[in-house]
Amino acid sequence: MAGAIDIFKRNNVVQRGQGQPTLVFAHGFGCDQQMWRFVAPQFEADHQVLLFDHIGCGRSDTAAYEPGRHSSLRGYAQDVVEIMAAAELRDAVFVGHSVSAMIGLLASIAAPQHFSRLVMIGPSPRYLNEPPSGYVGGFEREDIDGLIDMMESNMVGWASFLAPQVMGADSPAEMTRELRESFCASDPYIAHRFAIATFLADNRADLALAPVPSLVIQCSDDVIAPRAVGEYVHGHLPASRLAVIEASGHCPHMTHPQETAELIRRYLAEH
Amino acid sequence: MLPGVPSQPSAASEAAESATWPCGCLSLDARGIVLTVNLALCRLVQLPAEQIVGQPFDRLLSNASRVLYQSYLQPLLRLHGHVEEFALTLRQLDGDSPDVLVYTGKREADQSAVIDMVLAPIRQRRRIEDEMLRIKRAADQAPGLVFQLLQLADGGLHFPYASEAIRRLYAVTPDEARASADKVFRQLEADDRLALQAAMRQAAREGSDLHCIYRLSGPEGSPRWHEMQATQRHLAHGSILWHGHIADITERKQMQAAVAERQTLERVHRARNEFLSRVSHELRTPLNGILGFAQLLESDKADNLSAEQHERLRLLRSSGQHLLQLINQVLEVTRLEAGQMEIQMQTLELAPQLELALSQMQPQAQAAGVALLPLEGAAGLAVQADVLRLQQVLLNLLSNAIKYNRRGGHVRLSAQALDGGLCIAVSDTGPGLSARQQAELFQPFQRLGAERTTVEGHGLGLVISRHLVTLMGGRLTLHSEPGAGCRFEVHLAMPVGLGAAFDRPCDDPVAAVDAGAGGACGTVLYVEDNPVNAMLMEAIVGMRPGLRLSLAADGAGALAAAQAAPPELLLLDMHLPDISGMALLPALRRIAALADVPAIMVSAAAADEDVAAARAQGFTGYWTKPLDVDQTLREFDRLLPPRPLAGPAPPRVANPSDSTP
Repeated sequence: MAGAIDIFKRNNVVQRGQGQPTLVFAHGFGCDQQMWRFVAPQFEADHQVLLFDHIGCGRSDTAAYEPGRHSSLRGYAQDVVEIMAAAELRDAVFVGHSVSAMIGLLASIAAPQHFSRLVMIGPSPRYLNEPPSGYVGGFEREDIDGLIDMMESNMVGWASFLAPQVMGADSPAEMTRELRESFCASDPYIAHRFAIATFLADNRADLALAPVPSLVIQCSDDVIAPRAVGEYVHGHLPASRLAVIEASGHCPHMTHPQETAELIRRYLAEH
Repeated sequence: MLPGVPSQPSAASEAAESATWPCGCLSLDARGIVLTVNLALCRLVQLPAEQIVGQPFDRLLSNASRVLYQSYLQPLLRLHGHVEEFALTLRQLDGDSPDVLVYTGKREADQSAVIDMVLAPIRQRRRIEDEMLRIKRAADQAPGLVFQLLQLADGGLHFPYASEAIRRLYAVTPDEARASADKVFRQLEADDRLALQAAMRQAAREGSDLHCIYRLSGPEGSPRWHEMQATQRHLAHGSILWHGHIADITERKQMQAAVAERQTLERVHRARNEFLSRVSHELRTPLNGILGFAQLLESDKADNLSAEQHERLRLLRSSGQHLLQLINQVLEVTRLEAGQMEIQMQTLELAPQLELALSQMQPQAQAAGVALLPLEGAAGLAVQADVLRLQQVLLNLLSNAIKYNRRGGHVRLSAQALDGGLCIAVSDTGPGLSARQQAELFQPFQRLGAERTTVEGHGLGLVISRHLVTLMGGRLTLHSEPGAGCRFEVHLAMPVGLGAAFDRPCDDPVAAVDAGAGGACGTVLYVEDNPVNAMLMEAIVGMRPGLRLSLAADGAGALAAAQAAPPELLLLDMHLPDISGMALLPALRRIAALADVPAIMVSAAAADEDVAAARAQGFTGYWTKPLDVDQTLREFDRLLPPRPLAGPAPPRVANPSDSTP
């Protein structure tokens, strides 16, 4: 296994604050650790906070992407275990958004010693509908193909004029470029494989194997992880609590950072 | 009434402004709920304003776009306040999903954030995009690397475009390659990098296409081979834009190397066979003199040699015979390995073939004190085989079984029908063979210098036998254990239908020829340039008082002699100083008196094709050197029989014969 320094560099690991337990924040599909900028700082006074970027996202080392390993969420979970081992974390609280909720679950099953609790924000163990069993994940297979198409037209490397211009025309050019490269940047090749690994995954059977208690935070109106899915997750985890934020969207930690942070804080205090 | 339905008075004037704009406009609150929309947007999504306002914006999007909006666009907007040129697909309407380009920005209004959005349909651009995506996917899925390479005047190299294969071939991302091509070209072997640079310079100078094969420096001894092909376009300021592709040709290279190696091996093998064949042939010529004169000395009636000298003479002759046998075997192996041996399959009654082989081996068995047991189980069986080759195999196996036996031991020859075929087995009571010895047994030349030195070895006999059995469509196997003797089995096919009539063996290989005491009578012309061979023939002819031999050393001499006194029998050597024996015959035949006389080719070349070629040329017989004195005399007697004192001469139509005296 690579040394701690290599792993930190590989996943652009950032550690701040002090105090136990450590909170590990894992971003979901589509962005990077910047997603936590409204929530993570609120814990730095009392806790050690660890942030990182999945391989292919943000400022991670794209060369560390291994097509075989990262073709399923287990590869990403392995990365998480390596990060937590390198940081010598014990009994940490893993806060995972969206797909990272499942990545955290898989990592905790593989190496439970690093975990004390899981916080899952907008989790979904299975995005695809499954008519035979009546499971409703919210997506059809064609939707995933459409997503890949959309991603490619927004991120194709060879036609950067299609990439979103995140800053206004009044921003200094250097700043625009710097920001564009650092926010929610992702390697198109890896991003679309990450999307496939995410949206075709089926981790329903893993829920029952969770070795630690968990908190499920769910928006009341979420098209990506509908409420029924949140309830499914809550119902199949061995020891979980479900908290619903009255909101529309999939990123309560961005749209409702105070409420999200408060829910986590209360959960830590009670458990 | 304005089409935009303002939910707050403060937004009303803004909505009024955008109401008639030719692109979709809307505003959202911080939670993503629609505040206002304009007419163009209602048309775009085909919904009345009342059904849009107050609802989450993402209800207007396709499922796929909802994911991107929620997980990508929203965070970007929240982090930066602006997002421009973001492509999204609206929810499906009547089977159509319009694509829109989104421009959006956040502003503060009345202490709360308002998000403004402009949606422009991009149907035309979408088609172009689709087309480009198709091309990109084709390029990315292709096994090779498709690239555009920019070469600046200062020598700097960049890949403005490189397909995804660059990750696999060079472990470099397209982005990295765009910044600089160094990471790619640094991976080339130093020599090959220089060669590529030289090739690029030359192609640029000559305006030709670039083609270069190079190696990547790898950790181990097995380099990866890449092939680059590209066309060029000169740009301003001395830059060159290359378009082309790179393919990994390592497998092709390895295959070529394997083919080259095989060809070399085959060439070496062929050269070895040719060499052996030529050497064997060259060795037969001097043996003609040694064996011939030794035989003549032995049979001299006026015998003034001592008993000891007689014994030495016998040793000289048997050593010569042994040498001849080895040479013949070498020739045969090389011909078998070169695939030059032809066989003639026929249906044979098995028992007579086996009995014949047994009877021939009886003297050798008696001399060795080994009993040949009576034939077992062959009655009524038939076999598909070449009659001569089958005898050759049987004699070889029986001879080995006798030689590698013990005094007082026995050899058993048996046959049985087995699995729809036929199995002929030769078992001995010898010492048997270890597994290692068995493995080496069928290797050519293995027995030359073999371990079992107490018995005179025939290294090639088994090799030849196995080849012959294989040629006849069968297989030769060996079962043996040390101390338990050997059992060789010849598996051959049975003829289809046992009632099938047997073919008559074309020739009885050991038909006894009566060495008639009366002796041949007539005139013989022998054309031979080797004086020793000529002297031997003189000596042999000298044993038949009725024969008269004239000699010629070349073609011209032969024609002159034949014209002066036409002979009744022609003996021609193959290789003459001025003409080949083959070409000489037609010339001689033009002499009227020689049109029908028998003509024999006398040659050290003993291959089937040599015999066949001679026959095709009109030769009536073919004698191979070294000559066997007795057989040569018998041939003379057959071709030039003693003349009766009265009556017409017997017809001189000799049977074509390829028996080798």
